[in-house]
Amino acid sequence: MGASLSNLTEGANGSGLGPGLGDIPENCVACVFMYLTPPEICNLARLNRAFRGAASSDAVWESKLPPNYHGLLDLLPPERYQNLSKKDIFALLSRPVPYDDANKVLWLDRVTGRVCMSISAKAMAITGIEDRRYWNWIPTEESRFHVVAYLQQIWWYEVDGVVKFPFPADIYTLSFRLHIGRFAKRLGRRVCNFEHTHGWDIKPVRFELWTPDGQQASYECCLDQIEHDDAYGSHKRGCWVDYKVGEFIVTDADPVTEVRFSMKQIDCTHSKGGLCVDSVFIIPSNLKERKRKGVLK
Amino acid sequence: MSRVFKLKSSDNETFEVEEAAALLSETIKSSSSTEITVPNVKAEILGKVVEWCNKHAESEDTKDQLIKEWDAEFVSVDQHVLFKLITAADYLQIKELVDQLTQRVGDMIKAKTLKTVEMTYPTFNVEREVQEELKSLGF
Repeated sequence: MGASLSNLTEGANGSGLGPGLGDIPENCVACVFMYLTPPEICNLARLNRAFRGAASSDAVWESKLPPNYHGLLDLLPPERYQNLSKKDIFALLSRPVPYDDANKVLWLDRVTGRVCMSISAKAMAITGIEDRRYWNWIPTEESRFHVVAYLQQIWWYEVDGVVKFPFPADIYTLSFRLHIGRFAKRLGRRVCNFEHTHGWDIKPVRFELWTPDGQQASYECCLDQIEHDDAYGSHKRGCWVDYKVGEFIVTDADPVTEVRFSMKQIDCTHSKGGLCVDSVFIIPSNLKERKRKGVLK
Repeated sequence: MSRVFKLKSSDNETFEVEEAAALLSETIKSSSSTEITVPNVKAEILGKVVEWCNKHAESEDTKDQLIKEWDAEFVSVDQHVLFKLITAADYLQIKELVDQLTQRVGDMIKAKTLKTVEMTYPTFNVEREVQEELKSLGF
């Protein structure tokens, strides 16, 4: 990295090629930074004093924060963010910020500064959740929330949720994070147990989302398909899968956005079970796309 | 009757600039004199800045496609000329020119560093971070 960048920054005292990026005024370096992403800025901050100064500039970091970042800060106790520079505020918000009794977590994507959110199953209305014959809560480190809801067996399967939040204007994708089968650590290895897994191949599950302003999206699929060859079926079993429900749009005009979502399989002629429900993710759509294509890690 | 400004480069060349073009510079705008010396900026560079100002003074609608193409051509210079232009435009406080030039630098940085970007934030284990956050909130 040093080799390719240093010829951009060598000053007149260096190779005699003329002024380098390090010679231009700090406020101009700050202008350059307006066009770069936070990781790029942090990378360049090491180069020299003007860069380091510009990389701490409030103007630069304010432009990376979402327009309504004050609303996000309100989720934290004031002493956490008082007297912080905009750069530190960005750093603070780019780590998971829990709210709503820690049943929801949000964070800014470090590259784009866009808001992402994860909602725990604990915050959802799950039919039959109080009955241990049907559902149990399993503590696990595989969830951000340290617990997932495990379904043993039920006829009426319904999971509903709602989130009301001042999302910045963007197009968001909502998805459910699910795991077919149960998992545990045995002698240091992860093992999966499908003893209760049944019923998901009979009829599809219906995922849906909707907003008060008339947006709606839905998706149906069979979670488990044992009729297909084993390779396809086993791909979905035993690992966490994000089931995309659909997208919703937030415009600048919306101070607070409300999104309702649900996952249902209520055909009571067959029972279903052996499924873990962890959370719902709300991620800006282009971000999800870039991650999927492997552009971002 | 529009005034004529005289801009002098560090190597003693003088450029005459019409008022409309000259006033794109905040520095000139707030100067009491119509003769301004621009230190550390040679004629070659000052001449280009004057050219940009003249172009932008004559076109009323800066969102015009033609002027956008002209601007793109204008900033497509060797990086050393680019840096000198930035210094000059900054001294003269021509905001739009500084923006265009710095955007070009940003594009060049991206093009060179796309494969070598590293996060300087330490990589962290998300689960552990959330746990710490929750603890600090008393959960």
